Amino acid sequence: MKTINAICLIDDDPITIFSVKKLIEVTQITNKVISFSNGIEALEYYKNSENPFFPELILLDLNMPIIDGWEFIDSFSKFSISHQTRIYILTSSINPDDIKKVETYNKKYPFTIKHLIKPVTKDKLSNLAKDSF
Amino acid sequence: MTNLHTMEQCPSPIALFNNKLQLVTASKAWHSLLSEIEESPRNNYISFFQNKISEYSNQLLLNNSKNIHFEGEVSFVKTDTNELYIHYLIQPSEENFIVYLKDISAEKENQQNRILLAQASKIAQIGSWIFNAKNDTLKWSNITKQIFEVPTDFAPSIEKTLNFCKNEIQVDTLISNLNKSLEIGTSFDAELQIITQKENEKWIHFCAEPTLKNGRVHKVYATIKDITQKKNIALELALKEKQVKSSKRALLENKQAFKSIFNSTFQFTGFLNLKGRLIDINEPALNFGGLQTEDVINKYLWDTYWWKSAPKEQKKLKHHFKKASKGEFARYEAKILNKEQKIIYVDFSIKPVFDEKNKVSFLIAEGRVIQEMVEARKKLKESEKLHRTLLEHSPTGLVLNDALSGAFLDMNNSFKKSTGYTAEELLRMNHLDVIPKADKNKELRALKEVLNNGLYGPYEGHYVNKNNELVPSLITRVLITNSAGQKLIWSVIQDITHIKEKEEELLEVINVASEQNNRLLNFAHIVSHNLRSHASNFSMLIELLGIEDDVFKKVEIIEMLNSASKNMLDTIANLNEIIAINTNLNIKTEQVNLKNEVDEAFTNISELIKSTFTEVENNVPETVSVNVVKAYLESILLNIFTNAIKYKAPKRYPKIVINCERVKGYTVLSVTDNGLGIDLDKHGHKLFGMYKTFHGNKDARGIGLFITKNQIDAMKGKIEAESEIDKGTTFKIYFNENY
Repeated sequence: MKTINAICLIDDDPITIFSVKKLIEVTQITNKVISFSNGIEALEYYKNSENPFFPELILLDLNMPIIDGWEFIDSFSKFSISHQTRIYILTSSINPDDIKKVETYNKKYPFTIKHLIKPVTKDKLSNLAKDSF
Repeated sequence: MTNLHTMEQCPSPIALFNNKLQLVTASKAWHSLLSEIEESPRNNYISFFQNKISEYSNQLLLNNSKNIHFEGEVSFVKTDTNELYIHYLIQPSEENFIVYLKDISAEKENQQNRILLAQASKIAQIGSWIFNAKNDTLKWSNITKQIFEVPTDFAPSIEKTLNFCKNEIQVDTLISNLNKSLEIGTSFDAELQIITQKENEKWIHFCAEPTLKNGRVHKVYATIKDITQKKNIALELALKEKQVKSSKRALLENKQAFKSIFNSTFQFTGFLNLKGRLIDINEPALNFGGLQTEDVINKYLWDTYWWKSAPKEQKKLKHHFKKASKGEFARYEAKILNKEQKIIYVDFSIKPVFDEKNKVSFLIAEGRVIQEMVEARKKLKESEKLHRTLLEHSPTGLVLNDALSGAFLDMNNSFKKSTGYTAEELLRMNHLDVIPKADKNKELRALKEVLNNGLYGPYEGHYVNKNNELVPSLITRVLITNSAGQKLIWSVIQDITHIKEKEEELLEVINVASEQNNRLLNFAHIVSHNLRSHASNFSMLIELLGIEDDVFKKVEIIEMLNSASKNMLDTIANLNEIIAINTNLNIKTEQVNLKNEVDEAFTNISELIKSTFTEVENNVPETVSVNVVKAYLESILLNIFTNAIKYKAPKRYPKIVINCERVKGYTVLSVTDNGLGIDLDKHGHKLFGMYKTFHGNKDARGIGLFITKNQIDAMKGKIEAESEIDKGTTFKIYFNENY
């Protein structure tokens, strides 16, 4: 199994951060997990080229204060690093309109944007790793 | 004595008077002459002569007997009433007087006749023309000369006489008559046309009478009379007679023509006398009733068969006849019987005919069958009545205008009702008077279309009613041309005010419904999303609980589960609150003073205001009150005010200014702060959304403005925001005045 260099978790809900971090630990798909409670903080991390690594996979919540998930993607797409990144949108929504919007964004940008319907499970995370590359 | 005897025997009338004036003796001739005299005191010739002798004897004494005789004339009336004229001569003889008498009656008469003749011819203007055959001379009297207008010294001749004649035939006749008269003595007369010397045309009557002497024609006497005037009168008379004859003939012809017209006209025609009896009647009238002349002539018209239709008709006829017999023209519609005993309508008239004294002499009765016309008219009336009824009772406005002037000519109740004008007012108005200014050009185009194509519509337009309000209408216009060639426009106008209102209501209902539908859908997503996110948290935590072996870590997970459950309860409570706002439609409202409410809200958060050094300014006028759900208003004000403080700018003390204004059915409360502001271009669409937070504050729940919006919507109001980053935000809360 090919491991993922790091995973970036962006969600304003501490329970989600806690749970997903724990599950990643359990599945061992990566050794490094960084998390942000909002998009602005995440963007600031990626902006700083002095950081030692840039996670190639982002798990992104949509409904967040200041900027939401979509706004994050729009800003993030401007970084060159985005080309080596996959974004999974974490959502509890099963609204087909939301699923469609994900596909639209996937087509809009050169990097992969997919959705991951909550709850996050070990299996779903393992599949993420298999799906990579 | 011998003398006396001799005197007695004397053949001439002679008498002897003595000096004592006594008649001594008289001749037989004397007696015979005087015996004719009528005996009367006036005619006492004896005393006459006695007086004359006495007179003479007196003269003799005075003049010493110079006169040897005394003579004179005297007349006496004879028994045959003629005058006896006597010449007397008295001669003295010794002591006596001899009276000689001579009968001069014949002489006297002759003389008188001559005078009379002259006077007569002068008076009668009769001239004489005397031809003497012996010496071939012609004499004209003065009157003849006057007739021929020649001077008195004119010397006439036969030839000259003939030259005056105008007509040659008359000249020839005259010559032959004259010759005959001279040869065999016949008398003749002729009427001749002459041209006088002064060139006047005259007619003369020439009457010739020859006289014979010794068996030969000695003279021809002729009388000449100017008969020009008589002749002219005669000619005129002849001419007139001719005219009378020809006019008589014409009259006869006219009469025949009249009779044939009288009998061949389709009209009922008859003559009535002043009593109303039928003097004459034409054939069509008889044929119409299947009658013979003797059935009706000399009967009162109202007693004839035709008028047996009804007593009322007879009465009517009598009434109109009475009117006409007084000299008035009478005309009315009569109902009379035809030969099939069917009642037929007739246009009937009675016309008086006047004589030269302007008195009615007889009357002409005329009738024309108008059955078809009356029937058609009846049908027309029925159809008109039907149309009128339909027009009047139609719920659609119907109105007639002159196409060119635009003047109102007719309209039904519905139109009057929807415009609010009376018929009298409308009839003085023009079409464009009831068209709003904004529609005028559109209306003129419509009218042009009508004139070109005869029809336009239906189209939506407006009328302006008496209260200057717009009446939305669905209009169809139709061009018609009446019998007088006048172009008219019928308009069918449906007042669609109600439809329009309903349409707007419907639109509003649809809006509300679709808004509610949207909100519901949104709410369903919110519910599903939010509850799902809690559920997925539970799910993840429970999975972890199964994986984790470390007890301390298990406790940590359980604490997480606790927190997740609390979050979920909060979410459910929020959703409940929103459901309550949206479903509690009949919630109690009350009138509150807005200024007081604002002040109260500030009091409730006075601690927060104080601790943050917030400046507040309430500019709401004291008189403004709004009808609201009081609890909602408190919640709204609290939420907005706390937001203003919560999102204050880091380098300024917060300031909140409250103003109030009225905008089209709303009382608008505006709350302006000097806080962080918000990028409405980015976030405006989700400003009032659920669980939307914008500033990253830790206590932002993303539910306040969502609830505020729901509460304002529930009170039929609205909320708007204006903002500029780092300057501040203004929320405008619209309270519906009709709520």
